Amino acid sequence: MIKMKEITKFYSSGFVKTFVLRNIDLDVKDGEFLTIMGPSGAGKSTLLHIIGMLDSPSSGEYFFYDKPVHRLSERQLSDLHKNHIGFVFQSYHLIDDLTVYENLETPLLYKKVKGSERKGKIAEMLDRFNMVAKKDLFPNQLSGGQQQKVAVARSIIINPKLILADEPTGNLNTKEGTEVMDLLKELNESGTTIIQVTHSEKNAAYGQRIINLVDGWIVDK
Amino acid sequence: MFRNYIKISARNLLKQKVYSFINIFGLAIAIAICILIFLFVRDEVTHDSFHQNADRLYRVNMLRKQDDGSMSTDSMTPPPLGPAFKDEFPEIVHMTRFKKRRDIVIYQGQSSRESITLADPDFFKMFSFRLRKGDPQIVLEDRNSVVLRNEIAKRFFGDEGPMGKVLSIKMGARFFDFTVAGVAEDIPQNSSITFDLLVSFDRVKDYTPARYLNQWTGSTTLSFVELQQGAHVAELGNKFPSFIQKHLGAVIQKYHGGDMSAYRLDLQPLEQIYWNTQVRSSYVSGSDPLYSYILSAIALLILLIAAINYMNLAIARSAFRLREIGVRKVLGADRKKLMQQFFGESLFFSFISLCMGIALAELFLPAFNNFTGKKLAIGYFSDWTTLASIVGLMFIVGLVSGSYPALFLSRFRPEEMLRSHLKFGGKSKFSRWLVVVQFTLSIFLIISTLIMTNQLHYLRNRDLGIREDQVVIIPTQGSPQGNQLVDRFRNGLAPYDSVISLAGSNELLGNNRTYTESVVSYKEARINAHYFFIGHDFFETIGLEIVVGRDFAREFTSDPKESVIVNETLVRELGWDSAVGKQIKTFMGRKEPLTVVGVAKDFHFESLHTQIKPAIFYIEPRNQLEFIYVKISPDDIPATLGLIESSWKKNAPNFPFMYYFLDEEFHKLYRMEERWKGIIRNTSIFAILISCLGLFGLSALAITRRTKEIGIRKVLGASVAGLTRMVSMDFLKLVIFANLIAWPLAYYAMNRWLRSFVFRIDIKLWVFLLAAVIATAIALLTVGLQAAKAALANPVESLRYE
Repeated sequence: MIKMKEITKFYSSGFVKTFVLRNIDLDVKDGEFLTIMGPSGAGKSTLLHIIGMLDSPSSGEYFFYDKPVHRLSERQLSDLHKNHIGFVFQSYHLIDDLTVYENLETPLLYKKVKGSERKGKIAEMLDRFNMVAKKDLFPNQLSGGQQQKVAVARSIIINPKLILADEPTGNLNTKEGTEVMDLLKELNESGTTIIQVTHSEKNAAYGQRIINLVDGWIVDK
Repeated sequence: MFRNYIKISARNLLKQKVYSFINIFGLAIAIAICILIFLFVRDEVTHDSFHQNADRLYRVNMLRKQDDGSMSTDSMTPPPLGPAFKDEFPEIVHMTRFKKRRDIVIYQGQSSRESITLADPDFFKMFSFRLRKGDPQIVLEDRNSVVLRNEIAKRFFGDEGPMGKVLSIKMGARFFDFTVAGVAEDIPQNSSITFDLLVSFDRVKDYTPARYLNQWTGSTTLSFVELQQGAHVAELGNKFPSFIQKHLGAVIQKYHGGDMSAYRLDLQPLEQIYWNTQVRSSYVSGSDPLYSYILSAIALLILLIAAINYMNLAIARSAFRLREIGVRKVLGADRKKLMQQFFGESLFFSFISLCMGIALAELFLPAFNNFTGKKLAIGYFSDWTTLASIVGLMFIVGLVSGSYPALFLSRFRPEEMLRSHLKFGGKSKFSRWLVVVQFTLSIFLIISTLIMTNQLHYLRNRDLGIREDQVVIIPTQGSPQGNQLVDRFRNGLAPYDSVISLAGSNELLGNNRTYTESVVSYKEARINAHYFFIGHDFFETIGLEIVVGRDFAREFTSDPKESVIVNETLVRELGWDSAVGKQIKTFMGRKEPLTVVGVAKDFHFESLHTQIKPAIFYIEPRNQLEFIYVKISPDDIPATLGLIESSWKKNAPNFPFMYYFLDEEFHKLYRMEERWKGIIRNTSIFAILISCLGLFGLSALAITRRTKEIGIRKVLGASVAGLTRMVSMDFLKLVIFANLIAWPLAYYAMNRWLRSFVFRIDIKLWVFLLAAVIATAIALLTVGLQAAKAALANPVESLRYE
């Protein structure tokens, strides 16, 4: 599914180049549950953003299902990621001014899914996540765990091939965290590829493979 | 999708009440101003276009060669010209001459002074004035018929049917009976041609010798013609020289030594009459198009200021919305979608503003009409242009104000936005420039208001050279034997101390009168001078000093025949050492030389736009004094006026009593300037109000953004005053900078304006400083209060959330 060759990312300010990622080679197969670990500032999130096409590498090659992402136009990238990739963030990133229902609806609107189909999908999600009663609430009326559940529901509503989770349990308590991790595990078992970034060994244990990132390099453990 | 945007906009609107209010209210005021000015300008530009044949209607103008060889255009033409045009040129299908006079109308013993219009029978065939009653084809054929405008008919007859009623109308010296044969619909507001009572042009004979109608020497009437469909104006114009040769040949031989180029004729399209202020025009109103240009510019500037607010606040608020945008991008929104969202949002705001703006416009409309002297109304459905323009306005406002956020915010990478490390909110350079632009405009307008107010104050209070206060002017309304009336009046009022002095005169001073001007010659020298025909005691009554020689006096019985008084300017222009006893020749009235018996002090009989011109005073010999000037004491003016009125009723029972105050007539000279001052003043108030709304919003957001910084500084020991200063200075710098830009602009514009006055104030530095102080104080108040509030807050509060 993902093939990365010598991906490098740096920021230059003035004459100083700050490297975030150096010569990353990475292969991810369909259905994998991959964990990226490493200390703060190692470049984990940047790598995740590049995989998710929110950011572009400074150099290197990136193939997504054999499509050369590094050579695609903005429009093609947008199409690719809105149809195949779902995101889950540490701080949920729900839209504050929209209700749970409307938050779930938004990605479908951008995918131009028809009204009746949209309703069906949202109802299915609400059902699956036990949130039917909460559909008209705004994010700030929900607990952190509930918000993250909405965020996960929102990320999978488009049936993505790949879910990228950036410290999904970082802001949650243990119980809520476990729930969310169980959910991801469940999704993985039904065929979705998952790449997560985490500090937690416990969360890493949910995955099948771990890569360690230190100062932008992949290191073997 | 769109519903989703609307929802977000509406929720944003309710959540951010202050910003929403600033945006909507500011835009609403601007839109209201735009609507009003649009109505005004449209009314102006569609002037006279309501006539069905407007494109074929022309006024004949006459051009005369001046002494210096230039041609001066006059709208007046000789009375026989119109009929000759119709007879000789097949291209001309209709023709009407047009003349106006004011005179007395009596119905059932009630007299009133009315405007009476004389026109030829083609009048109703040419112009699209509809008749409610009567047959337009024949209504003016009968010389004993009169057509009344509906409003006038109502005033005379109330609910009774006016047709067939008889009005007694004074034409010159005598009253004639006229039968009402038609009632016309009220005339559209934007018609140059107006009438109240309309009678046949033939009635000119009632008050002038019959030969007048065939006289080619005097230009005394307007002539309008309607061309045949498809006729070429240029081709018709080619025939004019031979026409002039035929009819004016004799006049040219006699007065211009046979120079055939001394006269020219010109057809001016009816629709251009209103806009052309170059042609000296009688009976029809005109307007300087500059008015419309400047007003349109002002409307757009105000709209721009309000749109800038929207942009600025949207940019500033985007700091708080970055996350939403970032999330939307992650969820698959592309740039186009985001731009749609922002444009949608600004359109939503502008739609609400539009509704409010229309409500405000309706609210202001009566005051605006009062101000402009028009009867404007928002015809939402009566014509599509209004509705289309209003909806168009909404789109322009929405698109302009949404453009920057849409283009700017949709550009970022989602990854940057989610980290929200981007800085704006009062910090963006673009925002700051916009604030500078707003305040530059506001300060410019404040300075203009101050200078205009000063100049008008100066004009009102400048010594005119006479004592114009407490002088009442009563028009004699052409009542017979004006001179005797003055004497009877004088005798009647003599016992009362409150009447100080009384005199007759032919001239109403002030109020933009153009006085009769003609040549005075002394030996070889010839100059132009203004002529005043006056009665005895005139100088005393208006408080004009005789500096050399004597006043006219009753004991000098030969005064009316051989004496004149001149003003100082005339003496100076003729280069006299001493004036008294000099013999001059004039072309007004008498052919024999006249002797100068006195010199009157110079006084401003015209507006202070111009220099004092030479003037010459005669005792009116023809028993036609048109005005009575009465100097009264300042105590209990109403009682004195009552006294004068009862004396009038006794001495001239058939004529309505009217009066003016001389000082007010002089003030009327500056009506135009007063109106401009009002417009500029109101605009500057709105401009600064809207600018401050924007500044308020922007500084509030900047302070929110800097809450943490303020907290940290406070923890480190900064004082409240110091913090307030720090935050306020950021914005004050912009206002001070705006001053520097506005000053030279305002100086240039006001200098040009002042140059239209011969008598004017100097532009003083304090005006600029005052404007700066006003703008800075308002800005400081707007920003400072919020800054102080933020500085006073407990720093723990502001740091807790980080």
